[in-house]
Amino acid sequence: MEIDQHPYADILRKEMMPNIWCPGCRIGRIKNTFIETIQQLGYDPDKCTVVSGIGCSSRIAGYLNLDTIHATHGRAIPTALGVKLANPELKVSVMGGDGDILGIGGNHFLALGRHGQDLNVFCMNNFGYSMTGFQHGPTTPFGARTITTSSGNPYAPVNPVAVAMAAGYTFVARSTSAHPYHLIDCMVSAMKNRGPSFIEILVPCMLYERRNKIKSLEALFLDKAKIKETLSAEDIDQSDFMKRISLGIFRDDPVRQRPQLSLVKSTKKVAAGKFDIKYKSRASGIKYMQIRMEGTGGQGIVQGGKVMIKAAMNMDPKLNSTLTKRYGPEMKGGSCLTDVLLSSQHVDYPFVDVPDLLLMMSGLVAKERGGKVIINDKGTIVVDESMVDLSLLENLPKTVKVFKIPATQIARENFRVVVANNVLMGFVCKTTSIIDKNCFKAAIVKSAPPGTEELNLSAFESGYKYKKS
Amino acid sequence: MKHEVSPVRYWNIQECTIPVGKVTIIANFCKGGEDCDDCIRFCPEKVLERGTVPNERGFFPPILVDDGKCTVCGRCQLYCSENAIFVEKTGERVVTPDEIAHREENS
Repeated sequence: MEIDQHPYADILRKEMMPNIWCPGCRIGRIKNTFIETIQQLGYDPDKCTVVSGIGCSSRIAGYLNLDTIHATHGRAIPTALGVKLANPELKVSVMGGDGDILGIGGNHFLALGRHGQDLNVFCMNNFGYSMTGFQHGPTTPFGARTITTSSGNPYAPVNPVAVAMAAGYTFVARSTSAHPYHLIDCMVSAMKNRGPSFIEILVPCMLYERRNKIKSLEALFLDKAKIKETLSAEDIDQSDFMKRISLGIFRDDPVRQRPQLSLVKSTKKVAAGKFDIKYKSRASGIKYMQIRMEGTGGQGIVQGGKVMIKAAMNMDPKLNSTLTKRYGPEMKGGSCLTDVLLSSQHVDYPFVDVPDLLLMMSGLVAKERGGKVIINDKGTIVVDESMVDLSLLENLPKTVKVFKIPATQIARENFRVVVANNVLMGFVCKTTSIIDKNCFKAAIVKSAPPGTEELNLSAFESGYKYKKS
Repeated sequence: MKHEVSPVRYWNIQECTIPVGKVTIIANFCKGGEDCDDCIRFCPEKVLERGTVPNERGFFPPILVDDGKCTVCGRCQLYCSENAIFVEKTGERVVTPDEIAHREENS
């Protein structure tokens, strides 16, 4: 085959040739300039990746024998970002049209400027959605005729260069397909730039020419475009591109130095060896145990469940366990429950059906359920006396053990209300004796916010020592 | 149109060598015709001309007029969207000052 002797044969995907673009379409020339850029910079083709979306110009990815991804419509930039984050060595380029990058993927285009990763976005602007028959798009010039704007486009076009400048791209340039040598220079600079780079490439489209009775956009670009060394703010404007097009590099900055994070202060202090609590692991003999903690949001229900599961794992690391939590959209004041499941075998179903141990910190969940307390016939209930309406527990079978403690009252009188869950935990540890005390204490130290270990531990102790007067 | 070369203007031009190339056209890839013809228009040496024999898809690929004139600038290769044309360097040739002066005058 003759194509094998082509100088670009290494990077062309020859089994896909000849390509599908219309005769007179210059998108294939952008592909050639990209290949020239790689060859000029001497990059290893294995280290170059091209990601593209949907559209005429996005077909470039199919004709390059690199590692390429043909992503969904508009999502080329997020896909490329994923590639870059997974393997920072790669030189990742995004090839796409104006409809793909600015229209449907407009949000991702803005987000890349904020993100600041080293991606090269090459946007081929052909003034509309040409693959589907030329509907009007974000960059269709004012007054231009397309299928969907048959009497002239009434909307003002987006200026891609201005958007990229505002979004914070570190390299912004404009070129056309009629100036491939200039485009190669721009692409080389864009590949060398270490921030997000954007090049707007004006490409003629046959359909646009025919509908708007322009003889040749390519000749127009060659005639009107001027390559400038230094560009002013006026050159960004491109609304009358039939009269004047300014090409060149608008911005070529090193990577932006982001200011030091002032909002987030590192508050985490490493706890000294003071609260180093030693515990002994032992076989607990639990086969299958369902624990549920009910209450109102804000009482530390989820935190209590976490302490519970950590304590159980401290005691018997061979157990399998799951923690699921359920709460409404409100952070505080709504019903809330945490399910902890301990099993000696693999857990197939992570939710709790009928709890063996129920810790009630408020009656809200039971009231929402219609006053029904779900508990195993041989189960145990630990109730916060000061919060729960005890009439809820009247209709229970007599085999159910009920333990009562005014945990919130104790916490309010001696400590702070927020540690009521640990008071209850101490009482649970004492009455049920499923999990050892030191295992509980170690779990509390681990999950308490730094600086409050002592408060939580003393709350636990007071719950442990509670005796009904 | 050929003008007479004035020796005063080109007194400092010296003899030099330029590359000579071979142009290969892959006829079945070409989408030439009224819409494209980029290789013909951008060739500085006017090596190519619009063909008259259609290829299998009905387009008219260019034909080589004068193979020896190609200087391997690579423009046709870069400008062709379809990768249907490429050039290879085959050798070099010596250009005399007279020839350079003629080119300057006639360009």
